Amino acid sequence: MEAVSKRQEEKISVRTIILTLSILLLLLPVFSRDYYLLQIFVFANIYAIFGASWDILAGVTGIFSFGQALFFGAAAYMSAALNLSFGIPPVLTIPLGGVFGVAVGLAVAVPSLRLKGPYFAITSLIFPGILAGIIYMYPTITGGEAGKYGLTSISNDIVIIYYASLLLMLAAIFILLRIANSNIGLIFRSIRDDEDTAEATGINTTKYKFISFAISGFFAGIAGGFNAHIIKSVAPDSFSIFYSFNAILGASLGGVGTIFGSVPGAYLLSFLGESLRGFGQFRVLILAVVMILVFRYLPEGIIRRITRHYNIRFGLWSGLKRLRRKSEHGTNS
Amino acid sequence: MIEEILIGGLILGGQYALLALGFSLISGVARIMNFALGALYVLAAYLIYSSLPLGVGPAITASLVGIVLISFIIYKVLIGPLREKEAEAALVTLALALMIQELVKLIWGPDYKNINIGISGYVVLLGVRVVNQKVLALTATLVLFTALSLFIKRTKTGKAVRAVSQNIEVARLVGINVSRVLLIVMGISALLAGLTAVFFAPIVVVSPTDWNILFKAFPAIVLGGLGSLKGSVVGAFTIAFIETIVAFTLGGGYLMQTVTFVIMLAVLFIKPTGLFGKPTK
Repeated sequence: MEAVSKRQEEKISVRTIILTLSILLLLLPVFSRDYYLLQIFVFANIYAIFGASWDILAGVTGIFSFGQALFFGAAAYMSAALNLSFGIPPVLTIPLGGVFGVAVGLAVAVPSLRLKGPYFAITSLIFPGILAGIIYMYPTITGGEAGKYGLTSISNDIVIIYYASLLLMLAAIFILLRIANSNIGLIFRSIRDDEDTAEATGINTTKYKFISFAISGFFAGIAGGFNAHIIKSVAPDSFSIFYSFNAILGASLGGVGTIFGSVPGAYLLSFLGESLRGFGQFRVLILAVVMILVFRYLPEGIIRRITRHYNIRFGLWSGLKRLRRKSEHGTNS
Repeated sequence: MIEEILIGGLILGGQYALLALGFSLISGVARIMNFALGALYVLAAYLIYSSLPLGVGPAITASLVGIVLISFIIYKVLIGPLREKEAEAALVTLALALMIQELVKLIWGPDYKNINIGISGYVVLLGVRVVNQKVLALTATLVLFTALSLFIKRTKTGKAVRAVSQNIEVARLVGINVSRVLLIVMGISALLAGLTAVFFAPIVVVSPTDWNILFKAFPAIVLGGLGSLKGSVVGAFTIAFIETIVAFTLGGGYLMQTVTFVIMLAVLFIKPTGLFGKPTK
């Protein structure tokens, strides 16, 4: 009984921590309007969305893609094209980038779904390269290696950009968590854990894999479009493996399959990346070493390790539900 | 032009084949995708470059021994413990490739290097001048493929390798030292990467980011099917000829790459395990 109530306290404290941190993030511009600092947070928010978009596909559905940059880059180019050629404002180009991400997601799902294990891994690694190759092939339309410049900024005020990114990130994580904890999420997880059994229970696994690709493509696309409007340019290197790594590493630092883990993961990565900026030539090396250490020694992620160590259950909503159930149980006994 | 396509395709195919054999072997037997193989190729070339004052023979030996030892360390420390976790192991080897790339950049600088161990002179084949080094490289590829096939088919260790590739648990049950077999396979694939550097690096130049040659070999690897030595070689030469034909008729560069990727996807769409690959579970 004592142990249960202690755990309840801890769960409440986790909820309090999350809420406190969210409020602190919302209040951050009150304390500092430093352009440089806020910019880091903006990128952290974008990468949190990007990481979570990978997590719903890989961590929740078990489709372990190595090429998440495909959606990110494709949407960035689509947003740029809509903005530069038709003068559509960012408020529309970013969601349209997400829609394009869905289209790309569905398009790559068709050849990917039959592939298993290493065949899918290699194909997913190659997909972004194909699109980058096409971009290199038509430099007059796509800007070629130099990319395209002069996208409209979301706002001239970094504080507004900050709030836009923060609200977008909170909304994306909220929606993705709701999906992951819904019936669809349950089906995703059943596909991840045992596809044959899922199929045997009458689930149309192909349909749900398509849905997972579409959701993942949408949020990665949102992140890609937003990023393009922040840096006000697109270049073929948004298809590079570094961007895919960014999503994977961010989600993995937080904990694969938690969705929420991408947030602390992306923040950790962004601030680590910034603090390494002074090291210049060692930056990629250090990131590679961090990646090796994380996947070798901490495959469940830092956040999961901490929460498990203190016996704290993860997941805001599932945690709350469990808490309620536990307390009912507690009063009965 | 047909002669040029033929010769060019053969040389390119040889280079792909050696890398594909190593990658296919390790992923077929140990179910590990070792993306670090491309980086080991680069590292081997740079090790030869640095130890060249010792003479060509000792430089090659030192480099190959070094590469195999490094691959053993990589297996023991990083990949072996992650063998059950395919995705994590693959990510570790990708990160490892990046790490080696950066280390090579720090030690030898970002510029490309000429690996001057090639033999000089040329022969005329079908009216095309072919430098001797290319003939040597192609011959070496075929000899290595034959030797590897014989090793897998005829020797006792080769039999153990086949057993492990079919079913690790059963192989362990019948008393095969699985971790020793996997270590041997790891060493062979690293050795093949090193030998690719020995024979093909003198033809091209080498720069720290060249580990992505493995990416160029992927269509060949996947087309042939993972775990099949014959498939690797057939896939390598098929892709090499397609690339050479595209380069000669439509133009090289990115178009070439896109065409081979699309062909690879088309084959996988029809047969998800490549031409000669065994079905995956």
